[in-house]
Order: sequence, then C-alpha cells, then structure tokens
Amino acid sequence: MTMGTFLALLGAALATIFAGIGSARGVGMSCEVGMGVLAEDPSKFGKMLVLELLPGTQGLYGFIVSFIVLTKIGVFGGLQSLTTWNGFMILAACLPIAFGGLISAISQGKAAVAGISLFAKDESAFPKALVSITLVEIYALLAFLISFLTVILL
Amino acid sequence: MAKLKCKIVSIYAPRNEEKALLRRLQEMSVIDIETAASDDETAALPEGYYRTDTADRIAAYERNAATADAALKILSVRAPHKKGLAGMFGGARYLTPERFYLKREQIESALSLSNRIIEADRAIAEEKAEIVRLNTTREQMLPWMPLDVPLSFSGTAKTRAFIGTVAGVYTLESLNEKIAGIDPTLSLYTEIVGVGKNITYIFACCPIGEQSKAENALRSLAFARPMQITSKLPRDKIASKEERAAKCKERIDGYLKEIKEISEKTEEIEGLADYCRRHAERYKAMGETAGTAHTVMVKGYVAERDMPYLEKQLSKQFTVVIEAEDANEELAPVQLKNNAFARPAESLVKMYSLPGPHDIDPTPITGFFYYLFFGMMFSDAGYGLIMILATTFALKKLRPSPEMRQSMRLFRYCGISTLLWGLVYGSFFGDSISVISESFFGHKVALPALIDPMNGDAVTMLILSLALGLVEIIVGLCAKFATCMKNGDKAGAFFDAGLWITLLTGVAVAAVGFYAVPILKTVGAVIAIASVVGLILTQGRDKKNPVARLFSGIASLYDITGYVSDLLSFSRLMALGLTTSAMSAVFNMLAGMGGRTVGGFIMLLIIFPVGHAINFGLNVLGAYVHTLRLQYVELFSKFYEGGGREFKAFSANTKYTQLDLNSKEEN
Repeated sequence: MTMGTFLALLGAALATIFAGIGSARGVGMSCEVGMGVLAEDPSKFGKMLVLELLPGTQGLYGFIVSFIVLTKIGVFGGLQSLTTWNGFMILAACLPIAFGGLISAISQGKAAVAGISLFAKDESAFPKALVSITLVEIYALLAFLISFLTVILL
Repeated sequence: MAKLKCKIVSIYAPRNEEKALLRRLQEMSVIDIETAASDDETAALPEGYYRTDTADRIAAYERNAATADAALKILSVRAPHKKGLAGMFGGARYLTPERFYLKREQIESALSLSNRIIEADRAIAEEKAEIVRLNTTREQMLPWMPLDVPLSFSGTAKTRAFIGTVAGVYTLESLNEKIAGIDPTLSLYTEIVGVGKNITYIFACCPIGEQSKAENALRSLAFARPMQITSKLPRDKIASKEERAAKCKERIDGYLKEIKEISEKTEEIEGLADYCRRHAERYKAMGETAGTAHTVMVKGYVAERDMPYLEKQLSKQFTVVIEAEDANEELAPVQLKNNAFARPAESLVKMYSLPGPHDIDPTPITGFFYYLFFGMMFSDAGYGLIMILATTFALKKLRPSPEMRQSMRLFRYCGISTLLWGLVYGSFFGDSISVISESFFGHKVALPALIDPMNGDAVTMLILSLALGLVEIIVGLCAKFATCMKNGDKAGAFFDAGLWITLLTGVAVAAVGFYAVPILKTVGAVIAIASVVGLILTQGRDKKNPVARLFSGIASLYDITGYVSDLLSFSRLMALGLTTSAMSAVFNMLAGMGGRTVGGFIMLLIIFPVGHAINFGLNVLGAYVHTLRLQYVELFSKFYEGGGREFKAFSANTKYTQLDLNSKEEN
C-alpha cells in the first residue's frame, strides 16, 4: 500500500460520500413533503414516487465513479501500488462528481419539493414538474461525465 | 397516425325518444357532447328551444353513487375481498346486457345493503368509543378493587370514614407515623388500599367527634376524594363495566359479521355505483340537450370515422335526423389515431398536452424514440426479458382496463428494446453469466458484447448516445418543417427548420470526417458554413432595416448553445445505461463472493434476486423519467406546442363493470 493508492481510495470515498450525502438530503426533503401529500391522497403514490426519486441519481453517479476507481486500483483482488502523483490524479478526477453531486442533489431536492407542491395542487401539472426538476440533473450529469471519463481514461 | 377529423353533429329526435337515444349514445360512446358553458356559439339556442334543468336528478344519482362508494370503501377495509392480481390492474368485469343493466329491485336491494353497511360501520365506531369510555372508568376504579365498602361510604353512626388518595407513596407504618407527627392526639384508623404512581389510595376512619381534627390532618397530606363516587362496591362496579364492554364487543362482532355477510354481495353494490354514475352522466348530457316541447337536439363532436356507425345505429333504432358539418379545427376536441406500434405512446403525449390546432400528432416520433432510449438506459437483456414476460402475462391473463392495457403494451415495447440493447452491451443481469460461471464452474464464459460499457467502451457509448441524440433533434426539426408546411409557412419551413437541419447535418458529417473519412471533413464544413450564411441572411427576415436584419441574423446563431446543451443532455443515455451495468456488477460480485461452497451457493440464492430486484426498481424508474424528459424537453421544444382539448366521449364512465357490447350485437 502506497501513498498513491491511499489517495485514490480517498477519492473513491469522497465521490460516494459527498454525492451520497447530496442525494440523501435531496430525496429526504422531497419524501418529507411527498408523505404529507400522500396522507391526503394515497392514489398519487405512483407519480409521487417518480418525483421523490429524482434527486437520487447523483448518489448513483458517485457510486459508479467510486466503483470504477476501486476496480482500477485492484481492491477486489491484486491491489496495485500507485505513485503519489497517480493517486492525486485519481483523487482530482473524483472531485467533480463529489461536489457537483452534493450541491446539485440538494438543489434538485428543493426543486422536487416545489414540484411536489405543484403536483399536489394540480395533478395535470405532473409533466411540468417533472421536466423542471430534471433541468437540475444536467449539471450532475456533466460532473459525472468529467469524473467518469477521467477515471476511465487515466 | 394523426389527429382524427371531427364533425359537429346535431341529432334531432322526438322528445319521447330522448332517454333511449341518450342511453344508446352512451353505450356507443362516440360523441363528445358540447357543454353549454364550454362554447358560447353552440350555447345560443334557436328560438323556441330550451334546456331542461336536471341538476337535482344528477345530484340524487351522485349521492347514491357516493353512498355505494362509501359502502365499498368500508367493505374493502372491514372485509377485504381477495381481489387478486386482476383487481390490481383495474380490470372491470365484462357483463352481458342482462347482467349489466340492473332491475329496479336489484337497485333498491343494493342501496339498502349499502346503507346497512354504512350504518353498521357507524355503529361499530360508536361501540368502540363506548368501550374506550368504559375502560377509562374501569381503570379509574381499578385501584379501589380491594375495598369492601362503596366509595360513597361516609361512616357508621359513630364513625366517620375517609376514602381517597394522598400524595406520595406510603406503607401503613410510614403513613401512621406521618399522621402521628402531624397531630399526636388524633385517633385515626387507616388502611392502605393500593399504591399508584406518587399516590397512595387509603381508607381512614375516626370517631365522629374527631372528624375536623382528622380532616385537618388529612388535608396536610393533600388528601383528595376519588373522582367518581358511587354507591356500588368498587369490584361490582368494575365487573359491570367489564360486562358492558364485553357486550359492546359482542355487538361489534355482530356488525362485523353482518358486513362480512353483505360482502358476499360486493358485486351488487359495485353494480349500483356504476348504475348511479352512468345515470348521473346521462342526466348531465340531458341537461346539455336543448329541445322544444316535442323534439330534442343533441349536439356534439363526432370523429368523421365514426359517422357511418353512428348514422347506421341510430337510424335503425330511432326516428332521427342527423345533421353534420365540418368542425372548426381551433375548437374541436382532439382524438388521436395511431397504429398498434405507436398507440401506447399516446398516453405520454397526453400527459404533456394534446396537440393544438397547429400541431401535427407527435406520437409516432415520440413512441419510436421512447422505446429506443428507454432500452438504452435500462440496457439489460435479463431485465428486458422480465418486462416482456410480465407485461405479456398481464395482458393475457389479468384483463387490464383499456388504459392499463396500453401502458402494458408501452412497457412491452420498452422491454423488447431493453432486451436488444442488453444484447448489444453483452449484459444479462449484468455480468452474471461470467461471474457465476467463474466462481461456481471454474472457467469464465462471457456473453459476447458489441459495446462493453464496463470494460473500456464507455467512450463509444457516449459517442453513440450523442449521435442518437443528434438524430432525434434532426427528426424533431423535420417535424417542425412538416408543421410549418402544414400551416402554410413555407419561409418558416425552409429557413427556420431546413437551415438548422442542414447545419446540424453538416456538423455531423464533419464529425464523421474527423473519425473516419477525411474528405467528409471538408464536405461537412462546407454544408455547415453555407447553412450558417443562410441563417444569417434569413433569420431577420421580418425586419425592414437591412442592418437590423443582419444583426438579428447573426444573433440567431446564439441558438447554437441551445442545441449544444440539448445534445449534451443525451449523455444521460450513457450515464443511466452505466448505472444499470455498474450496479448489476456490484450485486453479482457480492453474490459470487462465497465461491464454490454451500455457503456461497446460499449467498448467491439470496443476494442475486434481492440485489437485482433493487437494481431493477431503481433503474426502471430512472429510465422512465429520463426518457420522458428527453421527449418533453429535447424533442417537443423543436416543434410541438400542445394545448389541445381532449375528446371526452359521452360514455358510461363505469368503474367496476363494463358492458360487453359484442354479446349485445349478437343478440
């Protein structure tokens, strides 16, 4: 185990931790509001679930990046010794999804809360709420792309 | 593959045939009856015509429908019927006319059954409240159980008794010490009846002459008389409360039994609910119908396609005159018609908004790309297979409602696409085949893959995603071209849609040139630059001043950022596809970790299905939502306005039962 391997592991940890925190907060927020609506009208469950889960993707993105880092450095068999610089490079590659995921998931959670209130008032507004909430997603997606491509290609 | 053409139809009939006519129209459900409020033009009645006010009859039927619904709700809680899978899919029972149309006595009996259920339910609630009340008194009385005199006992001829509580917890000894400490001269007999939380239940007794002394002493111990003073012995009182509670329980059981018995006849009550709703609808239609003393006129929209059917059926049965004229496209309600492949996607379009008067029907385009992209995001042959099997089973066996049937078909097409994309990515429950073969049979067998996302082909996947995105955007622009042509806006078609199509095509050709054929680089660049010049020259065409025209032409190139961000948005095709693969890979790895042992086999049996169920659930939702977004934002923004009004056929609107029209036709 070298310093480089440790740094790469740290990057993998950060990606899952921060993107996960973001998604947990986002989904948590939207679920809180969603339950309130469901208490009034349980028949909305299906569509509500879709809106509630939207801020959940960031956590998955973070997780994928971590998983690829872990396979790359051989955690699942044949642990590699990376140079310190290589370790730093992988760590840096993990940062976009770690922080991009964190912030975008929370923002998307807020958007989802608003979208759920809209949907609760007017059921036909579901597509509008859905589309508006997914607008935030693009930034998580961009962060993920950068992290992912760098990790794959490094 | 389009919006159906509509006619405005006026049907004239004798007044005495009105009810039968409406009933037949309701069965046929092909006419959208104009409501007086929705369209002022049709609301203006010819002279001598009037509308009947049916509001109170509508209200009566709706009230009864509400009664039946309330009864059904109670039944579903108190005596849950085993509905099975078929019930979950909302399949209505198809009934022959003899069973579908209820007789008067059936209606009355169902209504009285509903009322009995509602009353029984109310009685149960009351009895339950009574039980709570009885229990509360019983619990208050419980500490006094050992007492051999009633709580109202105040003493004999020569003694005074005190029954009550003092604050604090005492034993007999400590209580007597305490009293002696307060007033040593007092001769008070005490007994501890019980001890509660920070409270002691006591019985005390003194000679009648020392009453005031005793009272003073007790007061300083914070003595309080019990809340409920009765002349019965506490234990009798408790027993009687318990007895009454038991009786309440018995009565509740009786009511529950009654409800259970009635639940055998759930279908009758469902029939009643449908009957009432059907009639409420019919009276609503009657309220919209204008007429003179001897004739009525039903006016509404009918699809051109349904005209022969309507005319044939009505003239066979009634003495009617039918007038039809072409409907104004701006006002007419929208009904879509598509082939079996695209029809399931109509619900997706409907969810957004039906096509407005200037729109073309986007369903075929949306449908094709929805299936394609859903599969690309879900991308697993195993999951696709599950979707196909599950939806086919539901369609064949569970008699889903018409809407449900369409969404089952939608998911079946998505499943087929998922299966195919899974094969492209070499993914069957992720990399399960290679993991299981390696850890349980010793040598690795892998599914061949055209593109392997988990092993280095991710960039190929990204390029493929963006390329397909570009195709969808160009198709969207072609649809804009068609829409403009349909509305006679030739300049818009060629300059706004056409030039962007050529520009994007030029860029795509040039991109291919960079990868493969170098000559295409130049060709693409030439096309693109020519299109840019064209855009600069034409985009300001509504401006008179040549300078302003040039500037707005240049400014229009700013739209290119929109196209870039649209294009990047398609990278989610790759991201979600990867999510499915990566999560499958993790679960497969966990499942195969135990290796070739009994424990390992058990781990496989548990982790594999659970893990894949989680993965399936998460990703099917993601694929559904994000594919939808790609349609609504990236595709519809190119050409689609929406805002059409849905064609709402005057129909039975039933929930539980459906008339089997075929068997009627045979009769």
